[in-house]
Amino acid sequence: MTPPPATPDCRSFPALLDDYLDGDTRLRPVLVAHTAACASCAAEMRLAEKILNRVAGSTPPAVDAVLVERILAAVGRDRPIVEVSRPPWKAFALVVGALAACFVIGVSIRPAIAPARPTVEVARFDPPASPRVEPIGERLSEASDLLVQLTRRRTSETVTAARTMLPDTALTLEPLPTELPAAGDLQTAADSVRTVGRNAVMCFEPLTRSAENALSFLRREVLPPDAPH
Amino acid sequence: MDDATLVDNCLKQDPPSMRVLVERFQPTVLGLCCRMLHHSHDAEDVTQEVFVRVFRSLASWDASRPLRPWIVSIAVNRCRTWLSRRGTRPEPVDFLHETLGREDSPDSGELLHEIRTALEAMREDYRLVFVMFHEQGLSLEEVAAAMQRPSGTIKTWLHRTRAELLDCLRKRGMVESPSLD
Repeated sequence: MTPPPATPDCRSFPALLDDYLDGDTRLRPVLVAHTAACASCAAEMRLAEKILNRVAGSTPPAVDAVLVERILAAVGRDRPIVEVSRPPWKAFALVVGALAACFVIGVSIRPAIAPARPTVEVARFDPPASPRVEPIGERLSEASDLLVQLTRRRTSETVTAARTMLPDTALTLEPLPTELPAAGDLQTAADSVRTVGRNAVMCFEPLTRSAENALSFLRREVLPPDAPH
Repeated sequence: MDDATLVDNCLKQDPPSMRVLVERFQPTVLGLCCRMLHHSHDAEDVTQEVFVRVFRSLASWDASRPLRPWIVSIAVNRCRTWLSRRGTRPEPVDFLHETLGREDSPDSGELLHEIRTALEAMREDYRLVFVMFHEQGLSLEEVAAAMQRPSGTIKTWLHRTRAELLDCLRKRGMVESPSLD
């Protein structure tokens, strides 16, 4: 910025006054020096200052507490909905749980659907060694154990009671395997679980609850009272 | 708390920080809306709308730039939209009496009323820069940022507004005419 002239004349005064009014306060002594000898420019400067002093600070108003509350309420209502993403491990756990629950349901209701047989030869399902499949394998083993005991006892009333605990959605699933997989036939077991699990995703929560109820019921009915649950 | 920290906290949905932001800028926004819309209820509605938009787009604020001009620019745009929707420009109304600040002398209120009436007749851009610079105390750079115009343009508009204002007040006999000697 170029320094202002030490003694401005009347011609340059308006431009300097404008710069002063734009906020360049360094110009004030220079302007005052000129107005001491020039009544016309002095009147212009007094007038400009009077007008601008009058409007300066006439707004804004103070903080309006009621309006602040109103604004915050409106902002709260407008707040975008944040979608909560489920961590991948949770999704995996859900699917695994659904698969296990559905297989338990399948083996539980199978005797009620399939024709009764006088003697039953059920192969044990040995879970594979893979840690990823182990939780499913444990559930499947438990279910097959229960089924073996159940069919040997031919407690059709127990099965019927367990079946009534299942939601209707369970009965609309694709046909469940009528035979448990033979030992070592992992592909068959995997296909069965996949088929049931695909359908179970749609009704996972009620199925899980029902499966747990059914499983508890079966444990009470099948296992001896002193057996560990 | 500086503006960047404040905005960061607001983006984390921190309620106290959101309140601080509203309280910090509400007078500026409400003042501008009042002066542009001349109706206190309209001004409050637009102020609310401005802050809703501020929080909605806070993530897009460039932290390397000052916050106030950014918020003021949103207020300017909302006022313009509101005015175009309203279609007509009302007479200065009761709000002027509500916001009269300093009554230094009996004719002080009348002078302010005349100043605002004169500003009413001016171009919207001129009126806006005058209000922001002289009434609300924004710097030239802040006004330029809010109006998204170069500082030189803002300076020119301010000079013209002051000249027109003075001329209008003289014609209405509110201030003395320049001496001819």
